[in-house]
Amino acid sequence: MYLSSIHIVNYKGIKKLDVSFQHDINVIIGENGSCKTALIDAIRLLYNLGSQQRELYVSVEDFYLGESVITISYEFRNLTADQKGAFYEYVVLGDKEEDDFARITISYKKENQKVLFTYYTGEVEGQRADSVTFQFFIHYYLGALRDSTRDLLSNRNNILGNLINRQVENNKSQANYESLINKANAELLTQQEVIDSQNSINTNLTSIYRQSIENQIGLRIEESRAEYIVNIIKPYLPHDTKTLIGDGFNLKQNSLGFNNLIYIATVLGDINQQLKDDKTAHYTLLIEEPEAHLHPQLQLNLYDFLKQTNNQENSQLFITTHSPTLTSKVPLNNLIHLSINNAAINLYKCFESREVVNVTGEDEDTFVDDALIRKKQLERYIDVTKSQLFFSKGVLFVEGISEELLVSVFSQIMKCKLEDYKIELVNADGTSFYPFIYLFNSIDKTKTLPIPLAILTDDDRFTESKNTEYSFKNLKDNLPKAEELFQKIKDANQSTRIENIKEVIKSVPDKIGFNYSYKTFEFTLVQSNIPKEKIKITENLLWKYLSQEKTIIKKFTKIKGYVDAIAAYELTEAELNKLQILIWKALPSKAEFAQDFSVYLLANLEEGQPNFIVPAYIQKAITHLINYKAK
Amino acid sequence: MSIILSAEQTVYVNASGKVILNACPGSGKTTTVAHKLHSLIQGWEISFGKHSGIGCLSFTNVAKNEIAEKYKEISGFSLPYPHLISTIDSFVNSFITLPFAHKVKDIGKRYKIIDDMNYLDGVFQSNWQLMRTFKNYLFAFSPSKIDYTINNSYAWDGHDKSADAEFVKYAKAIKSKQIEMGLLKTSDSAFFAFHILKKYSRLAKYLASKFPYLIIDEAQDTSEIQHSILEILYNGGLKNIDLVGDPYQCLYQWRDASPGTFLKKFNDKENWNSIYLTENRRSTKKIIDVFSLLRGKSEQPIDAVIINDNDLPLHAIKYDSADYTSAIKKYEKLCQYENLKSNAVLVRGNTLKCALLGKEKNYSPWNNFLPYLLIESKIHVQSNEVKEAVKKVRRFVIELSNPGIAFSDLKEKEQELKNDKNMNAVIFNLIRKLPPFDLRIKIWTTQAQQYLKDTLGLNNEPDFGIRKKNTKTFDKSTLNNPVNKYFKKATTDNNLPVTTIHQIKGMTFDSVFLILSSDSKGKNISLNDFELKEEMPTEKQRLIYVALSRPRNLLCIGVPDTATDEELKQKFNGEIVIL
Repeated sequence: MYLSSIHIVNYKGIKKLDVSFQHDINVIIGENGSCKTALIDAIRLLYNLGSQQRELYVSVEDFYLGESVITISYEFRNLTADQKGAFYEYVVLGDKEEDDFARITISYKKENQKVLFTYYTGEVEGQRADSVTFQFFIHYYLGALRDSTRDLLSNRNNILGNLINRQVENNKSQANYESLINKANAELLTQQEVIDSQNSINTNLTSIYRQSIENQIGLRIEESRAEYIVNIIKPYLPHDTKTLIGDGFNLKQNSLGFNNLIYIATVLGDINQQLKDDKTAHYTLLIEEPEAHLHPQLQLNLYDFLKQTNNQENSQLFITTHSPTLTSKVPLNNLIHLSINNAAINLYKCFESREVVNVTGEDEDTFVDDALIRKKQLERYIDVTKSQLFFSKGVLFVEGISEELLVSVFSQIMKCKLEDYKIELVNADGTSFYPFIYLFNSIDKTKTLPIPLAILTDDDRFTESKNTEYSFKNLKDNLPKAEELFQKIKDANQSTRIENIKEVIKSVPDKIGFNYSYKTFEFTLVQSNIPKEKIKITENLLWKYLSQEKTIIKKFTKIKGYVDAIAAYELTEAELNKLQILIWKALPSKAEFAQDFSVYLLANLEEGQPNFIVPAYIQKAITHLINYKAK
Repeated sequence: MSIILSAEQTVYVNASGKVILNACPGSGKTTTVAHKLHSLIQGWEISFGKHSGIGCLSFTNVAKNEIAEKYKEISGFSLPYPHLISTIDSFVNSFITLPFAHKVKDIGKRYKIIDDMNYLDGVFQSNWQLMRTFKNYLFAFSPSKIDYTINNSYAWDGHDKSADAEFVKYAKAIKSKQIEMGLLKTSDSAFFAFHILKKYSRLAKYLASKFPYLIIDEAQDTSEIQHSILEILYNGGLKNIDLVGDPYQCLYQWRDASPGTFLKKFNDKENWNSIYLTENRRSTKKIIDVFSLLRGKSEQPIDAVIINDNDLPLHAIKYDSADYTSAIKKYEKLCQYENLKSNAVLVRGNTLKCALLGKEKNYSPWNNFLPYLLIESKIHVQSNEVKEAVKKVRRFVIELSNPGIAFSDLKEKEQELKNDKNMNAVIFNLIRKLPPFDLRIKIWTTQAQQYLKDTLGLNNEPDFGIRKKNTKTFDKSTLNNPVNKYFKKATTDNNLPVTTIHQIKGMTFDSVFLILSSDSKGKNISLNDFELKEEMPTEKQRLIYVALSRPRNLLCIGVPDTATDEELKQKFNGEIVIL
């Protein structure tokens, strides 16, 4: 069986939260304050009930602001026949046998600064399975700031001791251990220092009692039970890495990260042993922020290891993380996104049973977009950088490196730096937005990230503009040709992509901002910053940048000559069109331009507005993200 | 403790599968069942795992407690979770009805089992809507005795009334109101459980996984519908079930139990492993001979294990029905003379019991029911039944501060108070310091009312509603009599318990004194009942059978002084001493 869902009310920062889980691995992601730890703690509360040492309590501070009742209910599915017996009083009957599940609801009531615990099992309040059944919920918890070194080295209830003891019990080999201790005991007692000490005590005792000699003491190793002696076996790091014996480093000399791995490896050994012994109980391993101690590659190794090891029935893994490295590696099926307004989204659900979206192909046929293919594409596209979107408060998609470099600077010019608003700028490296859009465009709240999205793209009209006939070389002395190009662009059709994207996002018009350039990013950039007034042209940062850009000195001189030749205070419409075309065509290659211009802008930020105009469509996109309020 | 089991007991302890045990009186049934539990627990985890257990279910709380104690005696510890010793009613309630009744009819909350029939009747009889429509029925057919029948109709007091259309209408109204309140009687619960299992047959599988071994003790008293429930369980996956009982001791015909159902299974040798326990280790041969008179001719004879030449023969004590005192004195003297330590006076029904104790039946000097609760709890304390006493006072306190409280709220309040340590102390003191019962009723009433006000810190004295007028059934001069003339522990002056036969089922005494009436009218039992007319004794005869099989050494019967010695000698083959 596995914990299939949890429903939390009024616990810590959670007002109300419903989360569904996978049977194997659940990686919980989300920004700070999205209550990842509260969710983990809510799970731990149940698993703590039956454990011998409670690590977690509910105190009066744990109640959601102003509330006095915490309720958490847990549902388990896929019970075996044995489990349906063992958890009989937990059973909630469905219409069919396979819909039956087990449920327990625990609640805490705040009364006069005291916290009262109560619970019920099954469907109707009032039913209580014996509290012995709590012992069937077993967990291991590795907190974000856990000192696993201390746990590994403690003498009581240490995890390695448990692992060995469980096997000793199964093999009924206690006697072997006890005879070892007896042997050691016998030898210890023949040591001179021990004998001397004993004699000294007994001599003193004799002189105290004087008459009787019945009060003499013997010496021995205090506890000779296998269970005790096993607990003093401790891991260490031998210098000889082949034989693994001899001197070595104490764990305290080891890095915390490595010790965490040793701890996890031991825990998994223990879980697997228990899974073999008892097929009824349920085990969870909860790890918070493994990235706290592990470098990125090791995070991935750990995840792969956990995935392989933790693939048995009745054992479930929960990880919280802020690590984009880890997130990018985890299949969407296993990712759960939490947000600050208490919404939990299983990311795979964004692609299941979706409303129909029609798109138009290159040959102008329309077909239904296949969400599951989009899911596979997303898993392929998402990398460490893109995964950061899951930790943001808003996502801005752009097509390429130019936008990526410049839009960020533009936001600073607008005095709304993206980072300040925790907006993630994602470069889609092309125009494959769809897989990402599916994370945002459902009207079903359980299938969509509750954060706004803005898409920046180009309408890519008149792609023939790249042809040689329209190169700067061919235009610079043939201005009518430039005018022709301007008109052709004006008259051309937008790329079909524009309509398709509109189709894909139309369900959530308020949430997804769709903004596109006229022709291209660069073209609109030039249009926005080359106005009619000559004086404004020369004061503009774009113009100033071009004037000092060494790679295009000749081109710039040509353009400057053109502008200087115009006597009027303002350019005519026709002159402006041609000028814009010429400047656009004179820009250095895409990447270079973005790189250099962004550096230039950053260096001259204070000149910013009004001497640089962020293209309106980009302004709109950024404003949308900043002002969006989830309904 | 090690008792060597007899050969026939060992056969049962080692039997598994579908087992039915027919155990004669004194055969050590409880001990044998406890040994079986002990034997099953050895190696239980290997065969059944640590999450499933044995369900050992008896008919009454007394009987189940006895098994639990016996088990503890044998093994040294109480039977631990996940094993369960309980009653069959409570098992059905807790594992079938209460968890899943909402699947039959969802009322938005958990149902409650109601055991207080007076309360149930009161609720309906004070409902004006029901009164308007069904006034006559409400009093002629008390609502608490209405039951569902398998054919989707209704019965009253065990009698099918599906032919009476008016009654069916009435019963329907009552039952739907009762369900609406979320209250189920034990019989309703069994009916619900049956339907739940029919609809969700997989529950049988789940239950069989939780309890792969069921032992049903006192199985002769298992009702028809409980048998049907058990059938669903073992047809649905339960591999091991023991039915343990004695058809001759079936006393709950009114609860739809019949010896026939038990015997039918016992004789079905194809499906059941039928085992006898025929050795009586309790009574002398002479006593066995007496109660064997009520066994069928073809029945397996009972073997006496204790053989002694000095066995006391059956004694008959003649009584004067106007005054039982001298007969009881004779019995007490006899016990003293024979040095018998545990003795009891047995009667059929409460009327005779009251007559014996010299109290008036149904004497009710107060209109309010509260003083009765108080008095009963005090009597419980005197009889060392502290648990019962506390339960009643708790109820008293709640009713006092919440007049007319709904049953489900009452139950919740009871739960609350149970966990309130301070309240438990208050409750206990309340009974202890109650004004004594040798006060006159009038004075006791005033004092008790004042006492409650002071102790519980009430604003006003509670009003017991002492009766002020003479009526046909009530003479107000009796209020000058002491309370204990009417309310006292059920014992004779020499502290011998006086009890009904139902109450001593399963118990053992050194001697008993069974008082017979002069005729067998109504519920009376008399000498006339000693003749077996059919192979199987009637319910009345089984009742006598139970009474006669209790003593170890001495069996006494009380007969009216109109009975002649010849008649008695002839009835009991001359083996009788007449006093």
